[in-house]
Amino acid sequence: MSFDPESVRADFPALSQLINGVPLVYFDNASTAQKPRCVIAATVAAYEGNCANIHRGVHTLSARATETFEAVRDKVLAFVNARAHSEIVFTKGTTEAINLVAQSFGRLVVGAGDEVLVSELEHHSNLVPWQLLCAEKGAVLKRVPMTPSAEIDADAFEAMLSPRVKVVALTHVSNAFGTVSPIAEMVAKAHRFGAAVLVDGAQAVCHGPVDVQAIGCDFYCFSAHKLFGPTGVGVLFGKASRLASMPPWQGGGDMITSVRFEQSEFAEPPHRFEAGTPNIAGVMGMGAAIDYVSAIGWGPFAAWERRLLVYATEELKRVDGVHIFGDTKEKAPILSFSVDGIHPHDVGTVLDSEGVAVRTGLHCAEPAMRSLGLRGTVRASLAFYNTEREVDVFVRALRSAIKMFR
Amino acid sequence: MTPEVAKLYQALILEESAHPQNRGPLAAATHNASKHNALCGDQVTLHLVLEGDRINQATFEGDGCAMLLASASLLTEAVRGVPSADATALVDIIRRLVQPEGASEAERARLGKLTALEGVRNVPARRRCVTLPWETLDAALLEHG
Repeated sequence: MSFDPESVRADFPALSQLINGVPLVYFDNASTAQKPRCVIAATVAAYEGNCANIHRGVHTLSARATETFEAVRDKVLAFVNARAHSEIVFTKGTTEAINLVAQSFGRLVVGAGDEVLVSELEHHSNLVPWQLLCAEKGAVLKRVPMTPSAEIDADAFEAMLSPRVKVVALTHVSNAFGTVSPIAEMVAKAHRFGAAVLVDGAQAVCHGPVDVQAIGCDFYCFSAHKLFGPTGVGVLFGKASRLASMPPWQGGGDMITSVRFEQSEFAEPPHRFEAGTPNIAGVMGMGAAIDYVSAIGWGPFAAWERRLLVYATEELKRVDGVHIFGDTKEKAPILSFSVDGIHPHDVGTVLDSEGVAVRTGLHCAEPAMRSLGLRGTVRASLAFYNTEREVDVFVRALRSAIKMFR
Repeated sequence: MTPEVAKLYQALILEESAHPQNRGPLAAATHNASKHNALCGDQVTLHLVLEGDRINQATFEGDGCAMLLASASLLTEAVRGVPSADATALVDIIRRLVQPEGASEAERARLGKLTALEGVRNVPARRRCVTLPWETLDAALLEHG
């Protein structure tokens, strides 16, 4: 049975509003996705019914909060197919997860003259933490090039591997173009040289199943807010053996087993990496988001997104002067394009006046843009609740922008 | 299209951005400055020839959206032959012009064609596109100030 997006749209309160007097067409899902009522309700419930600190109190309310909180860890474990509870660390989001790995694991294994490989396609958040690490350690940051079709150049990557490479940081799905990396193959190749691999999964977890065991990576990072969950919460998956070897990143409550004035003993993972009171309500909301997506099921979900992407791509290609970048066979429903003679910002402003929300500019991926000789693109990023009718509104608005500027 | 966006992209703006005036290098420049908008990567460089206290010539280089190009183009026309103190005053008026409250009637009267830039008053996301060339003018004048 085919998936009907109309059946889920009512779950998302933000989708039914008017923008500039016309119905919102939300095509900026790669920036952040809208939240279903169940996610909003779960965060409210965390404050209304279960508000207590976790891992601390003997009282019933604290025990209940702790239990609900830790149950989300189990949901995440199943969601990405991790092996153990200890492999799931809650963070503020993808960015914090990457910084945690760079500063704890990176400082441990990267020394002067060692190499860190980062692809040119990365979001700034999977580049800048490695720049900081390499500058601190006197290590060499190396650029894995991308192809003109906005994919990581897998052959060039293979040629760059050597025993000097200690860490490899790669995106699973490009935020700027939606292209998909052959991530499991790349991980296997890096492992042959003993390098650890961190995968930025921020744009992947919201479009299909992720299996960290099948990928084989050492670290996998994602944010809840792109997965229809709350902002300010995310996940670091780390292989148990890796996390166990890593020193704490931040110090504070909840990450210790005993504290003397002079020194402390640190808790085992995952708590070693969760200093201070976490975003409890955010974690509860993330749990609800995982439940929501799981209830729909990846099959119907992905099939609809695929159909929507094909339709939008065909319609967009019909528009004179439009060039789509990263138009590969297998990709997430992200359309990154330029329009001859019109700056992305001007396109974005006209689309917005027709109720269509897209992102314009460099998409926090300036090196990737430069590599393709671009000064920015218009990015329409779709989600399973978008419809073909919305694609029509978008294309019509785009045509009116072109008419105005030509 | 909303009236705000129609006003933003009024005919003068579209014309200026499609055919910007005084675009290119200026070998005789005495004052130069560059600024860029980290949000979109757009950047503008301004070249001025000052004789004494007077701006005799102004050109700009750079690439950007229609608002930035129109703003830079109009700027280079507006400051030609103007004492630098008056140009600095103009920067202040433009800064007010793009805010929701706008510039005063007396100030608007001094602006002439430049009032076409006030369309960004109601489109806050695009304000910086208009002010960037003017910030650059400020920087160029301050540099040797």
